[in-house]
Amino acid sequence: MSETDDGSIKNEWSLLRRIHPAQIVPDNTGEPRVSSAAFKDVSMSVDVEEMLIANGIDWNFSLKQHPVHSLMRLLAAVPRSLQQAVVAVPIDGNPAHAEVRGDKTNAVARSLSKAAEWVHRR
Amino acid sequence: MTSRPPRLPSFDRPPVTEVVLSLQFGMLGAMTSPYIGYLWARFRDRYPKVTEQLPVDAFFETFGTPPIAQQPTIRFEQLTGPPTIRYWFESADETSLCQVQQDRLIHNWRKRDSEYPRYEAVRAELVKDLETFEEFLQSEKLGALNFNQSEISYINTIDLPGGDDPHGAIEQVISTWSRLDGVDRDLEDVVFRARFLMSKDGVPNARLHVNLTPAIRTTTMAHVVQLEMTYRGKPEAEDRASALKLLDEGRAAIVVAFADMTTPEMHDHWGRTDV
Amino acid sequence: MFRDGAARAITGDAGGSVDFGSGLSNFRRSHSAAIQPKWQASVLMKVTELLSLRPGWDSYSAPVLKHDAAMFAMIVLQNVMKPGTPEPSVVPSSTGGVQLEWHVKDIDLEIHVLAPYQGEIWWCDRATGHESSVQLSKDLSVLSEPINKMSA
Repeated sequence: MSETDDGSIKNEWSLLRRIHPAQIVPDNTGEPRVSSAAFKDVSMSVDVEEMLIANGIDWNFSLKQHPVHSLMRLLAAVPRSLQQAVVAVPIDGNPAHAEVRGDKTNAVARSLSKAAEWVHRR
Repeated sequence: MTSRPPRLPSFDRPPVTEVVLSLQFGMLGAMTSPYIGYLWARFRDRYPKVTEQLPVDAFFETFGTPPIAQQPTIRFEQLTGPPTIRYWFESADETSLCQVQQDRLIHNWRKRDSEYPRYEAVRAELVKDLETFEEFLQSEKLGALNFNQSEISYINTIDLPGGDDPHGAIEQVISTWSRLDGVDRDLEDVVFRARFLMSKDGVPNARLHVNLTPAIRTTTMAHVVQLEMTYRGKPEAEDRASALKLLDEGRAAIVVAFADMTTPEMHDHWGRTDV
Repeated sequence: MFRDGAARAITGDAGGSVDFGSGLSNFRRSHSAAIQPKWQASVLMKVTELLSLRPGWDSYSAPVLKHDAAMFAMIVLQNVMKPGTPEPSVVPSSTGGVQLEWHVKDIDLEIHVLAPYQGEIWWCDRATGHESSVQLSKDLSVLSEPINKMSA
């Protein structure tokens, strides 16, 4: 397992992040948007969609056992452009697990939230 | 022991009946009731009595917005879980009190039969309490103290020389007060509240709250007024030295304000020594 | 919720005196309760709900919201909200803090409270492009401009 960003996760690959319902807020038109508060962890867990597919599964795996959460997607290039490391960290039962590592100021968290798009919203 | 700053107003017989030194810190969620026995074991030689009280609300002075009438007081712990407790550790003569809860440590000096020992002595007792408390936290691995508010209060119980009723003669106590009564209009009593924005190097850093209320001395049923002065603010840093420094600054501010607000006649009665 | 006399918080019995001030205190408490702004009860309820979230509530490793962070967030709001200010969204952050945010008219305002006096204030006026980001501290004056704009 690499402790640093060795580029094994390509920039054009997609990172999937679960969003708790309390982290969805109305935008200025009243439409739901994800809050930047969902992207503040220093070591932010994600699933790499291409790795899920390589293992014969898809984004539904990320929401399995999480019936209330929604799912968002953003390209690996986005956090890297914000000086974050994207590191593959496979764990038991999830070979596609990765972390976006780095200090998440409000500006970084906001940029991540703006770049993310809904995969599945509950 | 710290020494008294020079040029502070000074009184031989100040009317102070209680001094409260309070340090507020980030909540120690792990310090639950079962641990308090271990703390009392460390305190017991100084404080043989312990009782339980409801917790005191947290306060956070902020600046840069229009003043609000009252800060909201919400103890979320009361809404989300079992009640939390404030513990009173009391000396045998009831003069000294150390209060402990998950986000506060407070030391009180209270006048019983003793004379006011002066701020430096009360502060030294707080430091002893703090050292004992920090040793306990370290020993039980309950967390560290990150101070976010310091607060010092002086409670003065004032009667007039000669036994006159001060309730209707507040102008004899407070220097800025004019007589309010007139023909067929006798002042019975006054409740007074003032709040001052305190600055350091031109930057707001604390507040001084002053409350004056009529009261009755329960031992003699004599009418008195209670003048309570509280200085509160966020220390410059989260460490102990910064928290204590703000208490020292608050003491100086309170003593100066007390001398400014009270009359020269009362200063004579209290034995002012610096003029 | 409101209490008179900040200075009375922590005294013992002040040498055996009894004061008459409690009547006025009770009146002020009742009067204040009767004129509480609507947002207060709603935000208090939301914050209380967030305080009951368990560790890992975000399905990852988010810690629980700390009580004193929640308390400080309420105090910030009490100091800055005006009669016409919309109610904020109250969002738990994945680092154990709480974020108060508005996306109203052309204003985006986010106040992230990690602990008392700790966190970040960010706001942006989409009409002018002005953006500001400062550390949360005891000085809340930076909030005046975005709050005024949202309250107009």
